[in-house]
Amino acid sequence: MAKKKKVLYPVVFMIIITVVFTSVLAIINEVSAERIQQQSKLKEQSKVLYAFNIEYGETGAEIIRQYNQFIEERKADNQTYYVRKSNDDITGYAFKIEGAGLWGGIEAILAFNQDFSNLTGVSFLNHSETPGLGGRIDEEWFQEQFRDISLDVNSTDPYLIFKPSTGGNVDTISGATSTSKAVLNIFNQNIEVILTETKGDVLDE
Amino acid sequence: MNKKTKSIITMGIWQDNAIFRQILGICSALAVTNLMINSLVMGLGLIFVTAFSELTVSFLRQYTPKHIRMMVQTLIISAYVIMVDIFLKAFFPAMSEALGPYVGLIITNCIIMGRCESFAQKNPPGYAFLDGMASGAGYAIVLLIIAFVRELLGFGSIFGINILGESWVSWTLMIMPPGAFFMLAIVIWISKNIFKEKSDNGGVKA
Repeated sequence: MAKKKKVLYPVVFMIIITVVFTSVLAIINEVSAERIQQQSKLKEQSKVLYAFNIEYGETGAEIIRQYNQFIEERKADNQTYYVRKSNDDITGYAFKIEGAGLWGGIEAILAFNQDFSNLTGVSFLNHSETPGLGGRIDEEWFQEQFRDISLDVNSTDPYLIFKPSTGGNVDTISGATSTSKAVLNIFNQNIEVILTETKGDVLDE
Repeated sequence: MNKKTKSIITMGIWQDNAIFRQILGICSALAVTNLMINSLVMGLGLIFVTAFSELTVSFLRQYTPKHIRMMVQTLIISAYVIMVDIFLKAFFPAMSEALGPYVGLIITNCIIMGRCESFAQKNPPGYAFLDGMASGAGYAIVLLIIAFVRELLGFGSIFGINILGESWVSWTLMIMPPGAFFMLAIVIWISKNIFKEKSDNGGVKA
């Protein structure tokens, strides 16, 4: 017991216990790192497939197979984008976008057809909206509304408009007005950027 | 089952229940109880962390210098919490996302620190482990009760399976933060009434 009053003992004890626990955690982290990365990659791949309206299987292996068959990742200005291919023909492009939601950032995928005249679909990667209200943006009925919407660069109206306004093409989520507005803003702004700037770079390649 | 084992279990789950008797761990109880599945995973995570933290603290209690014991406990607890976090990320990514920052915040859950300090510091490892399980279970049960009501009224479902049918109008309030406050208050109110009678019969009054 006398030992405990010394200064050295607590310091040594703390160092030893810290080293032990840190090493254990480091090992666990090392072992699982690859798996965690795979999981997040798998999620992204399934979201890209969804945005392109390609049906995909439940299991990881099937998703990867579908993804490798139809999607090619390319880079422009350090930003990855996704090219949809069928038999060497390009049939669409998809981009990862992000913006501010009601509570936090929203990350989504926007998919277009080959000449950017249509929005093929959208899917949400990450968001932190209210569960049950704004959080419903990742429900299927909401995302399905964004299928095959024609985009006209020369029109002065926004690309996406809520019903029942004139030219409206999507429904809001009732009870989640702020999130709905935020989502539409993010989409409209990013579509504008993609159609006016990114499109040129991508089609040149 | 000897007397001490029995008393540890009843104390942890009922008489000294972390949430409605000690009012500990309230923050996460409010945050993750909108869905049954979230509450279940959170409860299991807490049982694991509390049990193993208490076990480790108890093993080291004779070698740990008294004045740095808090530091040691925090280190042990955070190590186990990180394990839970990594495990969820690797095997249940959807769950890890749903619980968000609350898994990491198990570290600050007062139940674990409280049990390590008040129980594991003075008892042998076997009992400490059991106490951790019991306290964690007490927490998990209360969470599941609250989540049961919130999910049933808020979504019309239990564990994501629709129970009340399509015609059910969801009580949006129940899945919003105020729903958690109302439910927790009701649980504590009921338990206060149950325990009031007992402590009046010659029990120690605060």
